Amino acid sequence: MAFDGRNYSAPTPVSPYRYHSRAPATSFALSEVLINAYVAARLNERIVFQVCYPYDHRDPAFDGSYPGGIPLRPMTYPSTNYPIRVGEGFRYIPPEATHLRAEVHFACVGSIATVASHTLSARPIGAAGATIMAQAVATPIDVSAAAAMLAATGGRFRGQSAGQLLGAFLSPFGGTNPTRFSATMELELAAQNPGVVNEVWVDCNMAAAGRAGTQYQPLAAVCEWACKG
Amino acid sequence: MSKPSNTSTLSPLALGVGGEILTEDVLDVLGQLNWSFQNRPRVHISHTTGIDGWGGGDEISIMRILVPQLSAPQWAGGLRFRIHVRPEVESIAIGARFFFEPSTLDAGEAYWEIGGATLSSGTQITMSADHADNGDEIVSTVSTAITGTGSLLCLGKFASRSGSGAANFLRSFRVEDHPVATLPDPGTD
Amino acid sequence: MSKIGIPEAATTFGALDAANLGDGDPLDAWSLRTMARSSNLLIGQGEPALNLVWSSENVEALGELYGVPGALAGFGYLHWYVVLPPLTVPKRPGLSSFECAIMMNVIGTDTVEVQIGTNATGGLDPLAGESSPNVIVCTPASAVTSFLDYSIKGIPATRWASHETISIAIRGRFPDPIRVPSIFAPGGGSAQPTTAAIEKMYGPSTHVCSIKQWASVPSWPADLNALGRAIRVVDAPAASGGPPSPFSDLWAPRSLIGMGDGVSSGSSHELVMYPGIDSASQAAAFVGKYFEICEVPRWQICNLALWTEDRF
Repeated sequence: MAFDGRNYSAPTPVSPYRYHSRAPATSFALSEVLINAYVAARLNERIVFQVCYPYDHRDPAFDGSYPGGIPLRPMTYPSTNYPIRVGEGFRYIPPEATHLRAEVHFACVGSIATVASHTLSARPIGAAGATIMAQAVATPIDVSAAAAMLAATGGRFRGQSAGQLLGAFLSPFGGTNPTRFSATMELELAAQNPGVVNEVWVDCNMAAAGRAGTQYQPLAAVCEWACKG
Repeated sequence: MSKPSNTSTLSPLALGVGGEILTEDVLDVLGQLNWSFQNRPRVHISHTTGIDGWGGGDEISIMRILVPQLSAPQWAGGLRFRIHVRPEVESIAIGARFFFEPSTLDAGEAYWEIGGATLSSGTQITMSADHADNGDEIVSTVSTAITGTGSLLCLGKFASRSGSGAANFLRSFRVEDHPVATLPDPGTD
Repeated sequence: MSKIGIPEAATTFGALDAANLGDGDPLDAWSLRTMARSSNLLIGQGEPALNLVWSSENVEALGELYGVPGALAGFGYLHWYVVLPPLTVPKRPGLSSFECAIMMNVIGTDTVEVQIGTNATGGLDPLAGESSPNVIVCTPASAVTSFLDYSIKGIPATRWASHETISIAIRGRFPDPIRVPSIFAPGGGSAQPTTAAIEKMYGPSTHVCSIKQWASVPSWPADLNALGRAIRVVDAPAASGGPPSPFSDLWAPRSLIGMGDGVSSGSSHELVMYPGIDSASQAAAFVGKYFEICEVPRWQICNLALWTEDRF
């Protein structure tokens, strides 16, 4: 039976007015209770998985010329061993769920314009083999303009406003600095996914043409289930 | 009679002000309310923790949750975190996915401490896994009668007991509530 | 007893038996109240929004600067420094505040502040401080090498949103008493000065500025900025071989964020600082005053958890 509550997203606290003696509108109170039950079923406890890669923030210089830098580990060099997983988890997907959503943050720097493609996938754990559902999002990585941004001598930070915070995940400088991106994905589930435990994961695939000279580093990934009307 | 727990297709607009209230509708509302409580168990934490190459490709290490080879009963620390458990929760489930080196037939153990379920009291939650479990999730449960509820400190420790692989690791884990089996009675507050 | 106009929520969910609502029976106020209280609890109880873990192996105890996979660690630089990417997390609509709990190891008894930015706070605020509702002040009561719990409640959240974007920044407080490190030339060379008269301020701006020494050229290691250092400017030199200068600071200490032009391979004689000078006149006024290279706090986090708080 179709889940009728998927259109309700605003909770309605039930006031004691509804049930005090001589209070009117008892049926209205019931409607509020029902709305809240629907809202709770639709919006409560949606986390599927969350991961944040660790970083050694002991060197704030992020112009790439000095040791340390943003990622704890050097950005991975491309290879033919793609796709690489960014995050994963196991989760019971409620029967009422219609979608999975994921947000990925990553850093990428390269010598030519390329594309980083992230895919959100879900597979019931009893279904070995092929993924049941997957949704890919492509993020174009245009490095041609960024390469000219940083002064050749290094050690200078241009374009910072007085109030801007420095840090690993701020707006980037170009050149040898990795550029930060984010990608969001929304996967419409198949009939097999809801109602059972699924393996859910996000992976990254770099376009073959851009792999040479491109470095990629995942930063974080979060995933949740959603019930859309 | 019992406590209803059902999904409903009743529209709240049908319960208009001044309208009649049918018993069936009230029971339907009660059923949906109870169902929504019972069927949204909490995921406290669900995190990936693998080391280099954890997905079989060129993955980057997330965490050095190695399962080092140690002679029993030694353990290596790895995880320390906090969760909030509602008072209605009856049991908590821990799921973990390991990687044990198949070529050397590696196997290992993990123990988890959740709140009052501790190693020192002998109520820790233990898991065993080996290379044949690679790809699967190992699940263990513990009653909140042991862990308690509220703000709970959690620990995860690991050890490899057999085999010689140096790259055994915890790939991902999660801690979540089991759906409440028995709907609780109303309190007196 | 309820107060008219104020929604009640049960402490724990209470499920009515169907017998309470029998065919032909009236719908009594108690039954409706019980359903309302449980319904309010269902929409009003807080839930996890974010729960992240990193290695709880103590980086300090391991004595390693880099290469400890899994550790979220850093220096408490003296300006707000973003340490996590902005993550969008699910949130129950109707809830308007977060509670944050952090397990952090702060070395010694230094102080490190953590700022949690949300949509409701307008993200991260470079001017946020101890009195801000979204700043946790982390100071160990005693110098222990372990992870301690720090938490804060009442972080503003966007009430009617079903998601919130969370950003985390960290700032250290200048240690008191200050600590002056030993600095050696690259390759295990001779001891290098941690203080001297300032010869010239370079590239002065409010963004960044630098001090460059030419007369007695130091050989500071080119990665000195990666060791958690800050620069004070004081009005008199510290006694040679003695304790750090007790004399007046002429400006708020700055974080050392880069080493400028090298003189010879692997060494540098320029200290790059953030933020820059406060006014143009400082560039000239500081010539002849004294810089001191000092240490900043060190921290490591093994767990960061965020929950929405109960509404009722």
